[in-house]
Amino acid sequence: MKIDVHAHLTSRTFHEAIEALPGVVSRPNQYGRGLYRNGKYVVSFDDAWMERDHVIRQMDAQGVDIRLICLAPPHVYIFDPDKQDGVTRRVNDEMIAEARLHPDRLRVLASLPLGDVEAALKELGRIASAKEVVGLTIGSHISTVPISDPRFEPVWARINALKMPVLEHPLNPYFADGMQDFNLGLMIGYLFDTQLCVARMILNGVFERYPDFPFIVAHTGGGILGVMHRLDNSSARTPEAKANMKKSFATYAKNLYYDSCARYAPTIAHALDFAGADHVMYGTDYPYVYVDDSYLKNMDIPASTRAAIECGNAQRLFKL
Amino acid sequence: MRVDVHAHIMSRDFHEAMAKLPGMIKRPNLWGFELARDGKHIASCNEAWFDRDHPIREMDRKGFDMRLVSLAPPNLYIFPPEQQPEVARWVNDETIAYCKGRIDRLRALPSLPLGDPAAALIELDRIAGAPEVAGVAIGSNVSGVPLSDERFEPVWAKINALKMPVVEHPLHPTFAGDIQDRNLSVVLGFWFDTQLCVTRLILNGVFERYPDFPFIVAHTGGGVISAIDRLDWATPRWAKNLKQPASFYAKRLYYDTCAVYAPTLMEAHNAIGAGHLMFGTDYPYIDIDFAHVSDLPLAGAEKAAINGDTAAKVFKLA
Repeated sequence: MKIDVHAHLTSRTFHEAIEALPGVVSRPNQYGRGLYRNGKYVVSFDDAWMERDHVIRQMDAQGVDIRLICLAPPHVYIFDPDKQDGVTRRVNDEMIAEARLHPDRLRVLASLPLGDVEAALKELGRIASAKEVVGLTIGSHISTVPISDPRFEPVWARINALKMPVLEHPLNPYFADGMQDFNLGLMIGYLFDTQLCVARMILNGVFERYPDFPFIVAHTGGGILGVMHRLDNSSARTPEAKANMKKSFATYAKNLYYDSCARYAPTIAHALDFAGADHVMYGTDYPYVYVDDSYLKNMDIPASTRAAIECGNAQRLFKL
Repeated sequence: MRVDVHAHIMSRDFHEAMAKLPGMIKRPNLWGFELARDGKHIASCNEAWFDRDHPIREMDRKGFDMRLVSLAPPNLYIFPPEQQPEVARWVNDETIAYCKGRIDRLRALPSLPLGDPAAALIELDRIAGAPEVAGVAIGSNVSGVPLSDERFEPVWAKINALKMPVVEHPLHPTFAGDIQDRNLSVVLGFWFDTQLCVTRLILNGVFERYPDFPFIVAHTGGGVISAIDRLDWATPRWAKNLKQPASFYAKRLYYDTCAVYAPTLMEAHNAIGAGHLMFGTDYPYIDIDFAHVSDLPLAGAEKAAINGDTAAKVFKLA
């Protein structure tokens, strides 16, 4: 049994809504088509991804039994705060309907219109009990506002009370303007934005105050594991960070979960070494990436570790 | 031979020159004092670090044979381009003089006035033959300009012809102003800037065109290694001109051990091998000895390679 915790459902209505935003143009790119706003990269997609059952066909080809689907960047935060509510309800309903068609194969990580915190709480109340919804996906920043900003405190409190799993997903960082070459905003800016997001969540004490919900970090942490000594050292010296944290930086980081989307054996081994076999979960980044699992298959790890990564941890966390 | 490839020399004159730049203020911080401008951190220092015997005493205490010393951030590039050649000359001369007479313990990694590439070539010629000079130190961006910018092509050509080792060191990224909270521009921003710098050097083909000089990446790559699959994925899509996947070039580089953290060092070891890792401390900012390498589950010969044997060969120290 294999469970994919990091996958995106490409919604035609969502992409059409983005395309209708002022300044957005569509042009061919390496994936198929890309949307660009004022010359800057927003999102890529291929029309084939929107075909009915594309997601299921790919799961069959990749040997994935259950896939958790969520919205891809730029997420709903690209819309004005007062528009996010409506868009979010529509995409969440679309994802839930898709999962209903394949109840044994698909589950949903729903989105929240975080541009409007009140609306986000309402949407959370609306979707939390749907049996297709097993958690949430949250971007690495909300239109440049860090997700550790005090305005989101009621959202974390509610998520914590519900013990709802959250999959963090990077977005084009706001500083990506200077990184359009080689699409570096996407290639490595995303990874840094995850680091920045997770570091701020820990340093601002969000996980200290709300320790009861699982938080899954995309792309095996986006490199944050490599900065652990520095983050540990510096947070112990920074008075504002010390005031927010009862434990060391690494202690909070070890409580988080990491997907396997670095897709590189030394990095997966790093995560196992750091957070333990019960904190690493298989992910594909469907449909943007299509690679076989040789990176994982060829790793010299105990069968129990492999089973935990491929399925056990996700089963436990998402109650599958 | 036990060699520390990542260490900084603190020059009082250099700090005083920076302090005189317009808008610069000096204020206490966690290290001792800092220079800051426009609300942004520029450099941290401590009076004790200006004591010229400080690095040697520290080396003796920790059992280091040799230390390569370079300027700390912000490097020369904080000065206007027209001032950089002159500052480079006196600060490099100071560093070389400091190593003179004890080249069995200290070697210099001078800086280049890259704000003026023609002057950088002249400075490179001026310092290249000195017995105290083991290589050059280069920042991850030159006042916001990537090192892969075509204006630096003659510099890479010359460095390549000289087979001169280059030690990369991060600086504040261009977007540093947005991540000043919790000192994040230094803690995370520096590392990302290393990743950005190395990624651009690879994808722009600098290492393909100039394959003959050793390039040492600070802080164990600052994220380069864990992004290797993603970069290989990017190569055929956005860097079609590259003859090899990005990982091919990444694996030819050397990485210091300044991530310090055992799981990260083992990741690097698994990815690039012991022969491409070099012991570093980040003196005087970080107070560490060999423990972070000695404690790794590696064979003695691999630890010896990491702790200095490889550096001795690459920098021709013996």
